Amino acid sequence: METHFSLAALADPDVAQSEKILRACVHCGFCTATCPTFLLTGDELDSPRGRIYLIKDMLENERPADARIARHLDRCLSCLSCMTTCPSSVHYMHLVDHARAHVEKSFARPLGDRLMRGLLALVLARPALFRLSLRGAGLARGLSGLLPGRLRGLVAMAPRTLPEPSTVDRPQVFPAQGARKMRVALLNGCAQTVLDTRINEATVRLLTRLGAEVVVAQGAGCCGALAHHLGKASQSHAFARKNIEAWTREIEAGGLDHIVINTSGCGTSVKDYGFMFRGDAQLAEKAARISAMARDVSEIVAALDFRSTGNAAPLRIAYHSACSLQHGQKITQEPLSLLKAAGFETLSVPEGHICCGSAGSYNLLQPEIATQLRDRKLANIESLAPQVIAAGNLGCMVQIGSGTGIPVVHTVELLDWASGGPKPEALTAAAGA
Amino acid sequence: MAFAPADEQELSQVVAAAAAEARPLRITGSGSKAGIGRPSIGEELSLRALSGVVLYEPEELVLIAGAATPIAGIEALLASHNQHLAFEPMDCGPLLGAGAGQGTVGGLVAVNASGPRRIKAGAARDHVLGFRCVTGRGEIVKSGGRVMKNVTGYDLSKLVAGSFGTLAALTQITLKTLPAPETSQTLVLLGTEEQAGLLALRKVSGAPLEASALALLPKGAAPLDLGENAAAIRLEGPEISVAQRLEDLRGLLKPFGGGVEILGGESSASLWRALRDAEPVASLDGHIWRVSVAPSDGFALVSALKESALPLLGYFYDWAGGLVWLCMADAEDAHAKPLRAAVDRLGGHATLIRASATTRAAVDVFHPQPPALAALSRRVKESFDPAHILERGRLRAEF
Repeated sequence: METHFSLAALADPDVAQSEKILRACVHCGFCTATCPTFLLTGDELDSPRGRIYLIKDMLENERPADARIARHLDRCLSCLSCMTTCPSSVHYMHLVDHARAHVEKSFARPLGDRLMRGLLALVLARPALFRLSLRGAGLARGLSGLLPGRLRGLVAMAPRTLPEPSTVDRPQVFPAQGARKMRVALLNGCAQTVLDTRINEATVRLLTRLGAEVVVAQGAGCCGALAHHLGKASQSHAFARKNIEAWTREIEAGGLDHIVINTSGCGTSVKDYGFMFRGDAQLAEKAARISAMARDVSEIVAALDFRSTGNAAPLRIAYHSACSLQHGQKITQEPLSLLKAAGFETLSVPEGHICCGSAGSYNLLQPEIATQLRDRKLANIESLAPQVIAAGNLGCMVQIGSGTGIPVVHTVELLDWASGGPKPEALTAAAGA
Repeated sequence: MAFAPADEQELSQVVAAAAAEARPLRITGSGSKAGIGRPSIGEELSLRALSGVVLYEPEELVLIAGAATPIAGIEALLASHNQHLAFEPMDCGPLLGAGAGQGTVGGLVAVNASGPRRIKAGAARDHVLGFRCVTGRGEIVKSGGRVMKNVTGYDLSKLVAGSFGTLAALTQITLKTLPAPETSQTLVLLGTEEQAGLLALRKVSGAPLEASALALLPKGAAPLDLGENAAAIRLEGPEISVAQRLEDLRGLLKPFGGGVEILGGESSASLWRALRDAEPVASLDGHIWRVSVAPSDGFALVSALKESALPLLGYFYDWAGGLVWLCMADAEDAHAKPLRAAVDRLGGHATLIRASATTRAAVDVFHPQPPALAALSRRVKESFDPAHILERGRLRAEF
């Protein structure tokens, strides 16, 4: 589309980047058809095309954001379904990220919102604090002290009992079984180390069994995506910087072939570190190297010659493709073929391209839309009558699991089981119940 | 070797035996506060068996609990009777990386942990009605009673609170409990200069408004950033009283300009909980200092630090400016000398709350005492613990 930016505005590399993205859009509107929020509200401003116009108008005229722009950008899930659909390769992700940072800087949200978003970025990214917010005398009481009212959604989402912190999540090296085929660093994550420690445990078992040495690097932690999506650029950069430095130290010390990420939301973010730090003289090169090394766990397992030992029961599995995996990282086949190779019957979910509503902290900030999307997703999944739901992203697992009795497990837990690991606890519990 | 006596009797035998051979003992509960103070040496003496609420009489406003009883449990118990610990004990766990919600009542008293409400309700020590303990001589001692008006003997509660276990191993603590406020509202004054915001807080503290907490979160100076300088004032009590005081408060703050916003119950609670646990600085990487000065000197201290080019990563003020939480970039000496010099010029004291064990061993964690006071501390220590076996080295390198 035609844009009219002043030369002065274009001197800002972020604006220049956004201008380039805007110019790629031919306003065809294909994206509207696959946008989850447009599907629900039918409002053009809740579609990618409408948002692109809002962003263009705001940036072009160098205007501060207002409540209307903030509302419609806040409603965007960043599921990136539009990027998969877009015929002219508009990089909506970088555009909306820039716009969000602009909103955060130029628009004064009501104080309660500011406090809530500030606390959310602080809480979710810090395991110790997150654990506190979820436990205490009663789940709800422990939480309500820490999080404002609208975040009560977290209570409904949280598991009844929290697992104890896992020893897997401490910095250490897990040697490969048999001949070492590669050496990888695992991103253990932030919320994941609190909500579901079994995912990292299964990942370590599976990868070491397949011949990878797994390193949990000292100093690596939250990927920064949560703060990033809240528009808190300096905070997310600080998290990203810590990870880049931690893994760079590890590359220099023991060498690394890949960085493995088993939460696809984080994977999309780590794969974008190179872009994030493109203008940073000190980190640009290191960040680009880290991004180039980042892989989703399914990519690594596929590369490691995965074989089933016939250990697992041939269950009917509905594979839920996380947006960050299918749209953000364009990984659609690996998890499915791995699950098939593991001996499971895989079912493809109707409307699989539509987000489940989790989207990082979205389900806490926009509970109405998130719940509608969840129920829509579940209706689609339950139409298949699966025995298990598998997904490659903790956020989706928690979101989907909050509305159904069908057990939800991570893809790696199933692959671990099929190749000699223990049966996923969620399945044992469901069978016992 | 580690000891875990099952009761007070056993504890006194362990301590007496250690005292006879001058073997140092390190007292632990849940271990959540092991990171505060100088690293103490000696064999571990775990009090974890001494856990559980012994007595709770809500109508008498009193609770007695074993030293290793978790605070989280006590708070839940009190909440179910609409009561609370008015001094708002800080949870040090997240700050020290030991995990949240683990602290015990013994640890709370040992470090005298108090939160934002201290300015109105007093410190932890003011809520300790009595205690039982085993001194460094191995004697079982009971002090105080179950009521505020207790005139028998010395008021040792004030002495043991904040003694970091260097005088005695606490076994049982009697706390005053108070009704929890009916409503709680926080007025936030936004967008004034930092100095003006602090002045506003002091004005409020001097006015008959009974503010129960007064803090200032500076713009951009901490990860929890409200986008503008935010001076937060909490009013608590019956609804009608809070509403009236809120009106008066608005009037008082008019001359300061700036925006005014009100945070209701839960938003308010979450803000104060974050400030209580020093969240704005806890999530930063660096050494964390807790500095007490006169409220009118808080701003001067931070300005001096900014001018002196010390690597200040984040800070915020509580207690109307009288408590300053600072985070500074790591350095072997934790910048203790220049920081203490700045504090000494104003009069106050600086405590190094978070640093590596090596740094805490090398630097004075607690503010050095003037000679007369240091001599007094020593005589007190020796009368309780002549062989210097309890928490040796925790407070001062010399004992």
